[in-house]
Amino acid sequence: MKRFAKILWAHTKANLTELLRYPLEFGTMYLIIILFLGGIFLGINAFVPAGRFLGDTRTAIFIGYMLWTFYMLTVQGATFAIIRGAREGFLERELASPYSHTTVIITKILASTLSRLIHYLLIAVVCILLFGIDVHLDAASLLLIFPLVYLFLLGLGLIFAGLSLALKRVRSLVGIIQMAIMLISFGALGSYGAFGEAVFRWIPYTQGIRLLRDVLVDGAGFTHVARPGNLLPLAVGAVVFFALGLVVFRALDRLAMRRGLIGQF
Amino acid sequence: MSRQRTASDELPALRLETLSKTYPGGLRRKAVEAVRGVEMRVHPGEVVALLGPNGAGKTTLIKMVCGLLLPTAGRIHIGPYDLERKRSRALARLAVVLEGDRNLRFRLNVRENILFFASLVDADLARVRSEFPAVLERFGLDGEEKTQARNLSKGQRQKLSLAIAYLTRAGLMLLDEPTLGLDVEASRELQRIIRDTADSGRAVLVTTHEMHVAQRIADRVAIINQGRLVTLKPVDELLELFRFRSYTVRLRVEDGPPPDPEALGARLVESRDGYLELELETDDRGRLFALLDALRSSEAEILEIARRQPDLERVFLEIIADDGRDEKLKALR
Repeated sequence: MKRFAKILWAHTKANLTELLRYPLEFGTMYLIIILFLGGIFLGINAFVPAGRFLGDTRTAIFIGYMLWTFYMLTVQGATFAIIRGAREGFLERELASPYSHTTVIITKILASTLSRLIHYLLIAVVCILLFGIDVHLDAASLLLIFPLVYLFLLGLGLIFAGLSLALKRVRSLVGIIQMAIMLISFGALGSYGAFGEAVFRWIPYTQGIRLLRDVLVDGAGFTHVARPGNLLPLAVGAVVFFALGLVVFRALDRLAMRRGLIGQF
Repeated sequence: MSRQRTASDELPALRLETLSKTYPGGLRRKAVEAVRGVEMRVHPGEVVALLGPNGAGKTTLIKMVCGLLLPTAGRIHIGPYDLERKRSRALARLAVVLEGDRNLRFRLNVRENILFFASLVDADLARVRSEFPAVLERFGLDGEEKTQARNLSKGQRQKLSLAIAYLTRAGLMLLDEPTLGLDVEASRELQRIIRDTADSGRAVLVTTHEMHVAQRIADRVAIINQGRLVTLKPVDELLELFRFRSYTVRLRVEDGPPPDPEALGARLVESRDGYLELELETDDRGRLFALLDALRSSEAEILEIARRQPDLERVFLEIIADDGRDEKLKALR
């Protein structure tokens, strides 16, 4: 565990150092996001009626932003970290280490998230304060929901990391999955009948959005989130997707190692 | 120069047992046998240069030892550990410098790169921090601690990659084309460092296309061709094998027809304005004397007779071009 923490810190520190090496680019990137979200939040209520399921459309967008960015940080972060490492060449050097490839890639995904987490939270706080987003922040509930959603995303991230190792050019595929994630995000908030309900319930991402809605909008507390009917599908789905991610990554990693694809771009 | 060590009783830092790699084929691609049954040992304190033409299988072999490629057959032992069974322990004894700019994160500076890559191999960071001023000085990088890797010269980047590998204190260093593209001065500096590294007790396996580099730094040379290990011998032994084999004779022919080199058993290297250069390859000095007698009896004036010192490049080319019939080369196998 100590060794794992050591390389996690090494990756996170390297990512942060690289991000902060270009402060103007870094600062303006986040300014653009805040301005973009501000434009939406301030303008949207003028022509869009209040959300059917969420009450306030701005809150809906805010929740969407929170989960969407979380997805981007993890899955896209993992994919792009592999692609960048392969393109610039240092991926092979990172993988030629005493740690298993799975360990190295998981630390790369976690580091990619951690190095941007502060800014992710900062944007959320700025949006809440500046644009009058009215949410109930229940720390205990959020600390239960987010790690489980993250475990699911880590599983997806591993699948994409494996695909990046074996196939390299996967940006279009990542784009398609982004669209699918967007669709299921809306799906989580809509009404799709009994079958849709049953399916979305077991996808941690959609179940996570639903529980977030309950907490942030309806003010539901920890006991609501921890209820087996709510928590179990989220937890089981997260563990299953993470395990699936591990299996798929290992298979694709071995394929890449057999065919000599690691490090190529 | 004899740096040969009697290390056969020591535990080798690297042991390859019938190592093979076949890249699988596809619908429109044939399977490629990149490495075929390679057996090799590299001992602590020695430099083994792995030579071979492009596509011979050198980089494939290096990548298998780093755990980046799965062998099709055979085993790799790093120190006492089998790479397949004890990957973590085996790779903890290995430091690698891959070919080209693959060893650094360009947006990190020298210090940050050292600490980052040292962390990835679980090196003791307190020790690395305390040692690296001296190591930077030794590798000619003092004063560059805060320079980003992308702003270093190619030679400095190679030195930094080597410094990182050195600082990990791994018993085995794999260096893939470490002097490629460097100017003479930087290349010589790096060769000195590699030699010193081996002299400090580490094993070094280095691939290179530059024969003079191999000749200068290596204790033994492994030549690989079409995936097969053709020979693994001490440099001096290889050079000795080719000793006395090549003579050049420069002569001038003012009048009369020039001698027919083929009839004299020699090869015409150059002919210009009445000056000729012949080459005779033979182990039999009698043939040299016969050639000289034949030339003396013609109208030719012998200007110079020189024995060509065989160098590693010449040895390499002969071995690679060998069709298996040369008796002397059979001794290599």
